[in-house]
Amino acid sequence: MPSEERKAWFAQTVEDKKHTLYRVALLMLKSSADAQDAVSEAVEATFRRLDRLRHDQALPSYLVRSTINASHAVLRRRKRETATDQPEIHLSPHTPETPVWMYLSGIKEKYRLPLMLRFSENMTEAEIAALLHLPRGTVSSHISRGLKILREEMKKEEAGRG
Amino acid sequence: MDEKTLAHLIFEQRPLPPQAFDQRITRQVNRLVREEQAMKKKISVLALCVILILSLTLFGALAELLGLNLFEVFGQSDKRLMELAPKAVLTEVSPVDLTSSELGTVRAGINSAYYDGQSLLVAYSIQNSRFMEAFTPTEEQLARMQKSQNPGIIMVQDPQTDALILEWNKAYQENRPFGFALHEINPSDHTTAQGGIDLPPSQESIISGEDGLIYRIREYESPLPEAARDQEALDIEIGLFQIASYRYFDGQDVYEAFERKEAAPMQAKVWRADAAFRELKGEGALEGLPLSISAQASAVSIHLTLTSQEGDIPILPHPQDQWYGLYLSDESGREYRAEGAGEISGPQLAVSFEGTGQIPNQLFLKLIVRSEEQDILQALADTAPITLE
Repeated sequence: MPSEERKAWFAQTVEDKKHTLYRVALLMLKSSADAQDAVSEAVEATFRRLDRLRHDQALPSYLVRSTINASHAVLRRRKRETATDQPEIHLSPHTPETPVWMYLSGIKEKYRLPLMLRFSENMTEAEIAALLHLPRGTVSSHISRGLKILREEMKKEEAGRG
Repeated sequence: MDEKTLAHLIFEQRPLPPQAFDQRITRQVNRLVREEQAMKKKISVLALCVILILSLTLFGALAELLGLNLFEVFGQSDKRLMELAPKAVLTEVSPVDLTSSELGTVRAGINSAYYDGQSLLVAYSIQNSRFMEAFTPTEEQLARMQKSQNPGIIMVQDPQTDALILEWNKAYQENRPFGFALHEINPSDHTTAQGGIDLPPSQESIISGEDGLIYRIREYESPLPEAARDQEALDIEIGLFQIASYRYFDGQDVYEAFERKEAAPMQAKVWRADAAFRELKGEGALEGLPLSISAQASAVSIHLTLTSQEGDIPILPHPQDQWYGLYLSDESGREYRAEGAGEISGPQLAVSFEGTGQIPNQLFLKLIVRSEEQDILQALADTAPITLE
């Protein structure tokens, strides 16, 4: 049974990180409703495994990792259920001022997640590397490459409009 | 737009979830805590019924000693454990009786365990493992305590039994001095076999009952360390620690202290279960490369080894975008879940799968080179299975 202190820490960490978790899921799933469900699943799964966590400090990363796993599960379900359909895109319909995120959601996951974690959530490259189980150099190059791709995509779009 | 500006925009334009999401998550966290308490009560009632039945019938001495086969209790929500329960009954256990001035008599013991030569699961119980009392430190004690960085407010599980936590939270909000001490008996993270082989755990499930009763089932990385494999029996030992945590609020700051003392370990002899293994073999190909495939299948896990007959298993040309997908099922149509990503070492690729509680007679493996954009349903439909028997 998790101790009282650990439960309080869990509640506090979920409170602090819930928007990060939502954005991680949103970038992966491109649907606000699915993202909310994925975060909810991740919170549930993390609580059930709270006793297995060796260190309290690992909890934020564990929550993000669980959210990524839950999002992958949704993606797998989607493939089974609608093998040929593309998922609906509902990236933050309430915030029309988010064009960068619209482009961000369009690039490959391997660039998208490190970029988002680095610049939106202010995580260090070392933290991202540990979280995504990637070498730090790979994270660094994905961030750098991802920024270039993002800029190129935005340029293309602007040229298309102009 | 330069990259620095772009990075800044990613931060500036972060999407926020709808307000309902915040409320949903807050409700969920509160529910999780309440539900755990409700589950504790439900299990207590169930356990009482089972203890009564077992005491009167089959397991006489063991039931009297430690209660019931905990594989059956955990098997209520995990079919695999229910299947293993009959093979997990132990006859040679050494429960520990500890006496503590705060906790009274604590009985802890390994209740049941399953060992098949490669995998191990151990269930144990600790009765009367937790006690709380009000605590006001002397000046000398307070001087030895450390200021805490943890949140002041503590989550309450059950207002009836956690009166001291409620009182703590109230005192903290009112800036009024208050303190409590929590006394616990906790198991060590380490399990040893044959007097010194460390068995790394992979996961542990816990059910908490009333009055500090806990049931736990611990699973270990499979296969076990080589020295613990293929033994007739394992003599296992899980250490216990007597822990006291002190927390005091002086009206301004929270202070904490922590004491830990080693207690006598729980011990048991776990005999190897009969007919617990099946070796299955098959031949196939991956991208034209001929492979021989072997599987060691037990009720707990399946270790699959693919060996190339013509040199090393190739590293995929675009490892960031491609990976090997292995899909395993058996003659009953049960699908197996891979434990981790597997390892390639020269001509061999090894992957472990979680068992179902039963040993399969036949396995069917589909091998696919996966990529992000691939239609996996179509790829699976297009791939012929390799039969292992």
